[in-house]
Amino acid sequence: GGGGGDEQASADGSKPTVVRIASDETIDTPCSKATLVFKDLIEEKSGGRLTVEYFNDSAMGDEREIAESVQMGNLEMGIISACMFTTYSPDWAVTELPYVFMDRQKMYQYLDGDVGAFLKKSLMDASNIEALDFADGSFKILLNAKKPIKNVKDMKGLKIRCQENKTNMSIYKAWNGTAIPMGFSEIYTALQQGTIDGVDTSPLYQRSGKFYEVGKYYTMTNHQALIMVSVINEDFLASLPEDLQQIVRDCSREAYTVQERQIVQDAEKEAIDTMNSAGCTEYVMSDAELASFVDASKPVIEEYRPTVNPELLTMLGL
Amino acid sequence: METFKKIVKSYDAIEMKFLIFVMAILVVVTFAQVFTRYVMGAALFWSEELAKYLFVWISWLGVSAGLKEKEHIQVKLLPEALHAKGHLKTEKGLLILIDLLWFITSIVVLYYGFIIVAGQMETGVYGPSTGIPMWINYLCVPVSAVIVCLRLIGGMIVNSYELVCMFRRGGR
Amino acid sequence: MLILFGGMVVLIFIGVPVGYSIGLATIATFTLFSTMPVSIVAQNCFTGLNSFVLLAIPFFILAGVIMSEGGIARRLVDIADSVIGFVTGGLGMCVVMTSTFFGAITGSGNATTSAVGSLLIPPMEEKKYGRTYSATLVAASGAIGIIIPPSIPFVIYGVATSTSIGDLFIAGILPGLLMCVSLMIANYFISKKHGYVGSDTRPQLKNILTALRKGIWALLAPVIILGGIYSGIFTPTESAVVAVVYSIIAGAFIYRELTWKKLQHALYQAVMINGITSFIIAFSASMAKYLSLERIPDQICEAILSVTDNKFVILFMLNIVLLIVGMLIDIIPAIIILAPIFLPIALSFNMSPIQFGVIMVLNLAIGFVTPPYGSTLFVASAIAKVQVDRMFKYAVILSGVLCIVLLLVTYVPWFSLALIQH
Ligand code: NA
Ligand code: NA
Repeated sequence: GGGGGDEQASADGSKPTVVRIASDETIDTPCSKATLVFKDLIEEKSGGRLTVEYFNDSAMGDEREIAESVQMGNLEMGIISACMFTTYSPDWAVTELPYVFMDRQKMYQYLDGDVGAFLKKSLMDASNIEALDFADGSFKILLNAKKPIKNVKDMKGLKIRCQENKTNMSIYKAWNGTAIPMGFSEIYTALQQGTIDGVDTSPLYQRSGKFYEVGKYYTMTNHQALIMVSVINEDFLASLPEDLQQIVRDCSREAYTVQERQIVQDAEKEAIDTMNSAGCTEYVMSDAELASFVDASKPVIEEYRPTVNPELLTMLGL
Repeated sequence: METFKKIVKSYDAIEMKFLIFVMAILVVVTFAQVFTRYVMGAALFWSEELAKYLFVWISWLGVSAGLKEKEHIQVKLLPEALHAKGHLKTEKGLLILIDLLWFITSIVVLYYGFIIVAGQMETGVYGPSTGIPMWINYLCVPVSAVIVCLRLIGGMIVNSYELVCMFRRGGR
Repeated sequence: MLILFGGMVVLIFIGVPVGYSIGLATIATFTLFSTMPVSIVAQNCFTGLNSFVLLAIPFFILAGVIMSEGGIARRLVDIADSVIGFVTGGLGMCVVMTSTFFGAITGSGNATTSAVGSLLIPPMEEKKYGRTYSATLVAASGAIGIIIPPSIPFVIYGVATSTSIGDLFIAGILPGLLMCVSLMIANYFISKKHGYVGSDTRPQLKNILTALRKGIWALLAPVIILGGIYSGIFTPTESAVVAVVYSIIAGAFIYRELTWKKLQHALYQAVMINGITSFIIAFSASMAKYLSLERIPDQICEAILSVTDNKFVILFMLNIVLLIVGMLIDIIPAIIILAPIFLPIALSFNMSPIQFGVIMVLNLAIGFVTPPYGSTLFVASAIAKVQVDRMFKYAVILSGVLCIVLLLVTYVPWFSLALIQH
């Protein structure tokens, strides 16, 4: 029994401290792979004083439950979608607004710089959770079974499956489409039967769900960033000796902002290749066509303006 | 004693009406979601979350209703065997023990459920689609535990009283 | 782990409600043997139930209650009787067939057993069927109720393992019909031996048509539910609420037996049955979390695969373990706690998670009829007023028959997967 790992002993003979870290992702996703890197790094650098146990695939519940568990101290750490923290601190809504981060490198600069620092502080003020680092969960693209989407006007009347939340509903309202929330396991059949016309998710999930088999067209709209955050219980981190605290921070930075971001870009290329070779065709938008999506999404940002700190919006140039 | 019975009775009536009402709302909300999606072509974004929260509430308050109606899934082989063999005192004692173990579980759930509710009032977390504060959703856990505990105390008092009477009368 | 399970079984058998036995055993384990805080149990009281998919449970219960109150079960009996009532063991055949029909409306074994039992046990007694045999046959047929879709255990398996519930429902159709046929065959031979004869009237097209006309609305319900799921129009939860609305319309406007008062009563019954069922999911979820935190699933998977990697042997072993579990505990906790442990083993030799779900639920459904803890056995014994221990002889025979179905489903994937489209 015990909290696990009692049998192992660290270099100085005392019991290692266990860091339990959870996510809802399967073991083959970029964040899961980075977490295994995190585990190796931290166990090596701490000389066995820290051990990491990773619970993936929703073994500890969905993302909301994991966030709650980290908040209460039932888990030490979690790897969670950034948008989950909007209900703790409204400022975090910016992480899921459409076309806030126009490209990857710019997003990294924001998140590793002042915007990231602002968000971390805002979450810490509102909860017992410290956000350590921002990983890259790729960007959402549109896949559908009806027609190539060339312009936001093509969205009119299309029924697109997305995850159930207010922002997604607002986006599809702004685009004149219909958002249909539905569990991941039901999508394939729904797309096949025409219950939905398309799916709104990252290339990685378009691939793992095999949606390219039933939907023939995709457009790299990249309308929302899927940002992932490594989070830790504040009290737990504070309870560690200072050198271990630094090791946790360093290893998280290395795993989630360096290694993970490389893994996700490779995975994305692979997913796109799979989709293309299966006969799913990409429509490449011109700058003007992309701009039609960006402009049409402006009302969504306005909708959230009253609830987000103006300072943060200024930083993001909104 | 009579006023006490009256209070219990009127509470039972309120509980029953409340549960019927919430279950009906649950059907209406979920069906509205289906209807808006397939007939009107637009989905409600809050119905799914609201339905989930109502479901958790009726599930925990339903525990109390199940206790009132004595419908909980229990293996009654042992108490029935004792009854059949005429060990009536042992049977009563066992029934009190069962209620006591049940009571202990509920008290633990009550205590930690209350701590969670308090923590969530402090952070002010809310449901992403409905905006309902999470502490209201968690509140069903301690509330149900309080009611279940009260019902169990009532049952234990009645059984203990009968057990004492049996001892006074003597014999098996 | 042993203390956890041992403690749980002891609590169940002294008579603590099954759900609270699991809750108390988990709380004790967290307190005594784990660094995990007990508050995780209270947290799961909410999060374990906070799922849209689980909403299908009260809806399927409600649809079943409304249909029973609306006189639908009786019409199903009439259909079965007009078709097959004349053969040897005719009333027994009616039990099996009505359970199959009724199972296509309800998701619960106990509901099937009590609906069919209260309608058919009295006439069986008139026809001089042995009371213990009647009760045991009703209990065994009740197991069909959770294999023929809809099925609450399939919903729970789907949630516990992230498997498509729509696919699981479809996968249950053929195994459910297989159970129906095999129980009818067993009933034939037992009735022949005891001289239980059928009704005197041969089946006449006119009678069948009359019965069908009266019962058509009941038979259409599963067509809507399954058709909706099969074609991808409805998710399982949506189909459940559509079934509720359909049964209200059929009961109130077509059969005109459902009054406002009856509807209120049905709503209360559904909440109450959901109340004694669903919280068990919450407590079981916290026990599953404990096992997961302690890496028990990995350890068991490794241990089993180190003994043998022969697919047939492992599947046989899993069946034996699940049958024993089914003898001792209730199906809901068994699925939530054991599915995450056993599914990785099945996946390791490329078995479909759908087929494994059918195998697991079928195993535990056989547990409905196996002593000492057999839930439909208890229900049937209460209706027929026979002692449970007197039912053991026929319970062994009929669960043996169901085990043959289990072996077929285990080793012939076709039965589970034939109707699934992709
Ligand atoms: Na069923
Ligand atoms: Na059993």
